[in-house]
Amino acid sequence: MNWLAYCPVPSTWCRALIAVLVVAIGLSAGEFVTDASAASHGAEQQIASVGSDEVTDESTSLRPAARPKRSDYPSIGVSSRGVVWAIAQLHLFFGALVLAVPIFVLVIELIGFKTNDDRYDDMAHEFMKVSLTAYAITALFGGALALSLFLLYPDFMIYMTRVFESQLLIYAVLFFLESMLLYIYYYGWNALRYGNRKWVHLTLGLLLNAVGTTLLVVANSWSTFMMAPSGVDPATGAVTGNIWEIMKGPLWNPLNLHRFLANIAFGGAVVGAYAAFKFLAAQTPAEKAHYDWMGYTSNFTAILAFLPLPFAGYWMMAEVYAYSQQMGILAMGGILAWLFVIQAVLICTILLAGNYYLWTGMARTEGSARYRWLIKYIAVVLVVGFLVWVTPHNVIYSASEIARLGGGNHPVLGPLGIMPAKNIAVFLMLIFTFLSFQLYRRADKVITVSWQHWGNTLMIAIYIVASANVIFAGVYYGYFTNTVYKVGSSVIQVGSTAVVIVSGVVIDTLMFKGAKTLRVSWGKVPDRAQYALFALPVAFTWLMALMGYIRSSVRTHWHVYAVMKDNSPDNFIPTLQTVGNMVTLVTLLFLIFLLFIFWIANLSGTKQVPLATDGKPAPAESAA
Amino acid sequence: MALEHGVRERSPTSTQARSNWGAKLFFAILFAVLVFFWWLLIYSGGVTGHHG
Repeated sequence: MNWLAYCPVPSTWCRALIAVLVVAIGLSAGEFVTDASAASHGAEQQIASVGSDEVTDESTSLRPAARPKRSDYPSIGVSSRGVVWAIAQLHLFFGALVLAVPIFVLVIELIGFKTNDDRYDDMAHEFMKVSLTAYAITALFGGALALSLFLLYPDFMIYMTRVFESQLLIYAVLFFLESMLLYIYYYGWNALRYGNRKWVHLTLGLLLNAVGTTLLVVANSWSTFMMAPSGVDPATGAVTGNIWEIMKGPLWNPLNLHRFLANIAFGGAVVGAYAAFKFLAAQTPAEKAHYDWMGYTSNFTAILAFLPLPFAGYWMMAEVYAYSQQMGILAMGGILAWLFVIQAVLICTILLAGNYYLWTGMARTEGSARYRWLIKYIAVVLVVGFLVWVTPHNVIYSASEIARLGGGNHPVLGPLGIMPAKNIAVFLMLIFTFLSFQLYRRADKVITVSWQHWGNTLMIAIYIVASANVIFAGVYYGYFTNTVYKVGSSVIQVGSTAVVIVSGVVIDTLMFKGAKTLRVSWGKVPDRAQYALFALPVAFTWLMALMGYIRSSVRTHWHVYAVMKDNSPDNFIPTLQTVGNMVTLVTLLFLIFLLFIFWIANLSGTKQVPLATDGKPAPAESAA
Repeated sequence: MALEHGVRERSPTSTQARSNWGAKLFFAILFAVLVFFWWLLIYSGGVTGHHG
C-alpha cells in the first residue's frame, strides 16, 4: 500500500519530513538516555560503572577549577576588564536587536497575512532589513569577544569550556542555523508571499525565532552559571553534575524571561528610531504616512514588552536574594544601589517618552478630543512618580547639613527613599501608562455595544481599586509592618497592575466588536513626536548597559561566584564614576554603529541616476 | 489526465487537503516549538536543585 498517496504534500516533501523527524527523534532519544543516565547516578557511581579508559576521562572532569595567580593573566597595557566589558556589551546590544526584531516581525507578518493587508507585510520586511544589517556586526562582536576572553582570561575560559563542553558546539550549530534561516527568511520574502508559500515563509520565521531564542537561553546559562553556579562541587569547582544541572541554575529562567522581554522592548525602540529617522527625511505624504505608522507600531511593541518587564525584574532579584542574601544586598542596598537611582531616571525617561509619543499621536484622529482632558492627570502621576522613584535614601551630608536636617535622612523626603514608596510610584506609573495606551486605542473608535456604559464603569472601577490597592499595600505593609510583609506586598502590587492590563485588553476587545472606526490621518503628527522615538533607544541602551553591569558586578571578586576566584588586576568593584563612563562609552559606540546601520539600510534603496556622455546626469533619468 | 504546466490532476478532496497544507505545517511546527521550549526550560528531566 502506497501510504504516501494520502499525504497532502508532494511525496518528496513527505519523505524529507519523515527523514528529518526520524533523525530528530533519534537524536533526542540519545539525549534522553544520556540525560536519564546522568541524572540517576552520582559522579562517584559513574566512575565505578565505566571502564578503565573512561575512568581517566572522569577524573579529568572532576578536576578542580584553576586558581590563577596574578601573573597568569596576560597584560596588554590597558584594562583587560575594560576591553571585555565594552566588547561584551556591544555584542549583547546587537544580539538583543537581532534576536528580538524577528519575534515581532513574525507577529506583524501574520497579522498582514490574516487581514490581507500588504502594508503590514511591507513594514515587517523593512524591519527585517535593519535586523539583517545588524546581524553581521553581532557576529563580529561575538567573535571578538571570544578571542579577547581566551586571550585575556585563559584559565577562566578553560574552566568554562570544561564545564559546558559539547554545549558550546551545539551553540555553534545553532548559530549556523540562525544565519541560514535569517537569510532565507529575509531574501525569500517576495518569493514566498501568497497562499501556502506564505505559510512556509511564516514557518521559516517561526523556526528562526525558535533557534534565536534557544541561542539566547544557552548564552544565558553561561552568565547565570557565573553568578550562581550549579552542577559543580562548591568547594573545588569540579564538575559533578550533567549539563542540565549546570544549565538549570536558580537564576536561569528569571534571566531568560527578563532578557526575552527586554530584548523585544529594546528591538522595538531601535526600529522605532529608524522609522523616526525615515519620517523626518521623507519627501512625500505617502512616505510620511508609512513611516509614521511604522514608528507607532515600534513604540507600541516597545512599551507593550516593557510593561511586564518590572515583574520579571522582581522575580530575578527575588531569586538573587534567595540564592545569596549578600549578593542581593550588595545590588540593592550597597554601593550598586546608587546605580538604581540612575536606573529610575532612565526608566522614567522611557515612560515619559513613550507616553508623550502616544499623546502627540492622538492628533492623528479627531476622536481623541474626547480623551485629551485626561492627559494632564496622567502627566501629573508620571512626574510625581518620577520624583519619588528618583529620591535617594542615603545622601552624603556634611556635619552642618546633618545638624540642620536633624539626622541622616530628610524629615519629610526620607520615607520616599525606601522601596515601598518606589514600588508605589513604579506600579502607578505602569498603570497610568497603560491608561495612555487604552485611550489611544479608543481614540479612533466609536463604541456601539449596548453595554458600553457598564463596560466603562467596570473599567474605571478596576483602575480605582487597583490604584488604591497599590497605594494601600505599599503604605501599610511598607511602613507599618515588618520586613517580611514589606517584600511580600510587592506581589499584591504586581497582581493589581496585571489585573488592570489583562482586564483592559479583554474589556476593550469585547467592546470594540462592531465599533465604528474613525479616519486616522497617518503622517499628521508633529516632528517633535519623532524625537521621543529617538529618546527611547538612547534610554533603553543606557539602561541595558547599566543593569547588565550591576548583574555582572554582584559577583565581586569571583569569575564564578564562590567557586573560581578572580585574581586579575581588575578584581574589584570600580568607582561609580568609572562605571558611568564605561556605560556611557558603550552606549555612544552602539549609537554610532546604529547610525551606520540606518545609513546602510537607507543606502540599499538609493539608486544612482545614469550619467550621460558628458558626465552629467541624463536629463530624462534625472527628471524621473 | 495531465494538465497544463505539468500539474498533476488530483481528486477534489486531495486538492482541498493540498490547499491547506501550509497552515497545517505552520501549526504543527508551532506545536513542536512549544513542546521543545517546555522540555528545555520547564521540564526538569530528573534534575534537582544542585547549587554550588
